[in-house]
Amino acid sequence: MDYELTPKLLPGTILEVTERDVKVTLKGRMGIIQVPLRSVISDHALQVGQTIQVYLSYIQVV
Amino acid sequence: MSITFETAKQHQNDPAVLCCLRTKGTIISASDLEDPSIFPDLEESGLLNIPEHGLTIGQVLGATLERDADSMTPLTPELVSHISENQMDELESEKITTSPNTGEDPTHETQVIRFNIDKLVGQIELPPGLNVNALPFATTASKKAEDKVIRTLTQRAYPVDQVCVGAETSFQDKVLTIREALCEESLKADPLVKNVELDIIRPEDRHIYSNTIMDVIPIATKVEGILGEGVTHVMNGVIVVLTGVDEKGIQVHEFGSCEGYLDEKIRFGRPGSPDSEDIMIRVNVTVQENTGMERRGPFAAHKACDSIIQEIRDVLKDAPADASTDQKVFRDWKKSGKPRVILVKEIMGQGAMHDNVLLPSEPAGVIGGRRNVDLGNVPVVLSPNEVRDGGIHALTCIGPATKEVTRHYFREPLVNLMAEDEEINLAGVVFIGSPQVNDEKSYVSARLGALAEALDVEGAIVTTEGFGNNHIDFAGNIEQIGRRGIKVVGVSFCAYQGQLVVGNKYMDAMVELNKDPEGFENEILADSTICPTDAERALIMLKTKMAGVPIEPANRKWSQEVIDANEQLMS
Repeated sequence: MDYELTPKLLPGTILEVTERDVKVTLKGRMGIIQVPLRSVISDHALQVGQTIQVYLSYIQVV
Repeated sequence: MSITFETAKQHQNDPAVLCCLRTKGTIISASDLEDPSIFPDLEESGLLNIPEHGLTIGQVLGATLERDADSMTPLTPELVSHISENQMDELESEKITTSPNTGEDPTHETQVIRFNIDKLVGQIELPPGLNVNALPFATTASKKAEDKVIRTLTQRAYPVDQVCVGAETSFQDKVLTIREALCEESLKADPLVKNVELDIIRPEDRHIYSNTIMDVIPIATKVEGILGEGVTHVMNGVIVVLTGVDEKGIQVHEFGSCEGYLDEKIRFGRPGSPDSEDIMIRVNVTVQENTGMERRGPFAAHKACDSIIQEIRDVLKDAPADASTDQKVFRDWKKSGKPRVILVKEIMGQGAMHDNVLLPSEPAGVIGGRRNVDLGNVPVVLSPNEVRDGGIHALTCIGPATKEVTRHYFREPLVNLMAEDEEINLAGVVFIGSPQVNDEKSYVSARLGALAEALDVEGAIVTTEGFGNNHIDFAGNIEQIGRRGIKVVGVSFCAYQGQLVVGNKYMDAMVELNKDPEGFENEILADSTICPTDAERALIMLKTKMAGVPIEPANRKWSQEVIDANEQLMS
């Protein structure tokens, strides 16, 4: 099946920060993602409650 | 990618651009041309620049390419020869054939007018004195089609001014009392339920924190007959709000939950929401830890809540008819002579919370119903009255703004509008689940198409709650209906965040449900669900399409202006 997947700029909020990773909830039921700290770009130290944004589309199984 | 002759015909006035490398001397056909529907994207990205003097598809078909040209080359008069001004018309005319009269008697041939009729609707009037016995068809006296009532549902409304907790459950003089011990007893509904609390929230006290809202449930009960017919008692001015969390404090709808202050997290007045003056009975259920993401956890919470509501239903059954302040009568009709249409409601069927109970024993109840996931998500037909009598108990997907809760189905604007409309015959409301994987989606969509064909309908409106991979079967459902020659209109939240990821040629009449200024699932309960104005837009669009009036192509991106303009047209 052919899809037209277009990344959308989605806002979100940091839920949890550990010494290994960060957990983020995305606005509008897009889910929660957990990524290593190196995947996050920030001018300041990460804190719970900070607003983030990320370009995201759907996950397609190939 | 090259196009077909049919696509070329649709786009005969659009620019002609080569899809692939073509050599000098090529006689240009549709298979040499690129699909014009992707030109806006190509132009936006700088890959294509269409000159002002470029030729159209209609002009270049049958023309000769004068030199080698690469893909994505717009065709101009310098590049091609033997250009036709009306190529498409010529090609079209080749399809028209006439058959001479082959009658054996040449003298008789001059006395007969013979013509073929593909389809005839209406009536023919013949002059008096004509010998009707010589006509090649039988004449019948005109018979006036009569509408017939199939079943009647009476809903008696009982206003509630005050709700309190007491020693016994009772309902008298507009005061509902709920037995205090009910919460403790509701734990027996399912071992996964670990705690149940109940409180009464009056309209002026809504600035109160709450766990995520799992459902909004009307209080209604059967007094006579079965679901969809007979008599139902309904409480007005009071609504049950089910909220949920697990033992570890994780919201049952962790992905996009709507916990927070109730006055900020609910769009009051939507078909599925509490109304502005409603008293809310909040039932907060705590389920066993880590079961919030499995089917059994949220379903246990619904069962516990339903056991509480059932005791209220039992006292509502005894309310005297003369204490009712309002009475509504709903009828399921068989309208002869009106075009048959169906409403297709796509509901979630991917698993936990993406599930619904169909046809419970009590209105908006749980017990006695079957879940669409267990039924394999295949289409199930309900009569309009069965839907309006609480035939769907939503276990409810997790997008607060776009999910359809139980109360939404109880007062579904499209069901009400289509059932009461004088110009159509609503043959039924089809509920079809949205399974998780694509081969299952294709399976149930194909069954929907077969059902629509068997019901012999002329039109259909397909709606879906939520967004995500359910948009794949939304497109599939529309395609399966549309390819059978049935006119179809789609209704969904898409906007910015829920943009469709697949499409087909039958998705040319779509109604947007978004109410968020930025086009997001804004996590406010029921905000972007079907409202009466959306339902009106959808039905007018269906009637327009069925009448054969062309519908303008949609904008490439979501635009609120289109919705505003359409609403302006209706007013």
